[in-house]
Amino acid sequence: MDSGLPHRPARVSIQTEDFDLAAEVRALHARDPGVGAVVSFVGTVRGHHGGQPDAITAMELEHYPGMTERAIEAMIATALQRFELRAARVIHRVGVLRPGEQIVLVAVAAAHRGMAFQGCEFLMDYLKTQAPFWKKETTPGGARWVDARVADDAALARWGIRLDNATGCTP
Amino acid sequence: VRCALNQSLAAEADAVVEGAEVAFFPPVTGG
Repeated sequence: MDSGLPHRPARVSIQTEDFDLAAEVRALHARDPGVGAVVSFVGTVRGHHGGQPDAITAMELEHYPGMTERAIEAMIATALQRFELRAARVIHRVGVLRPGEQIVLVAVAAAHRGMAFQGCEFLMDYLKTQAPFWKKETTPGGARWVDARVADDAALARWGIRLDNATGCTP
Repeated sequence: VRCALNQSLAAEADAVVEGAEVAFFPPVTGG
């Protein structure tokens, strides 16, 4: 039934299914002639983890249903305002993935490229350190949880946001 | 360990009211 309200495409999806980058980018700026730039980032599963000698055969991703979606929505709201974005889309896959598969999509639309590049990188930096996702790698030698990286906290600090995801417990 | 109250990140000193959803989890590693 038509609610009479304007259609608002989903901005956040947490899903096991793969996604179509081209379709998502098209949808992001459809019917908005004010968009002059679209920037997208796709993260994929690596076959090796830095410093680890054994190959990764699978990556399992878990999330905190409800909180994860809310956290990403809040990130998007911040990015829309801070970088004057016209639209943003985040898709994060969960479940068991294989090397080479797509894990995450961050795509943003803006009037000009500068804000689009910054907005996309900001969202990705925020996602790495604030969204409740956890990764477990499976190798021939067994499974291991992936540790948070201090470098990801440092990346977020470039935007003036300091936290200790990798080392502490204070939000 | 990070802390969440009612699905929002919280500080260790935050008060917990009856019926609140409390979660503790390790550093996040998404993306």
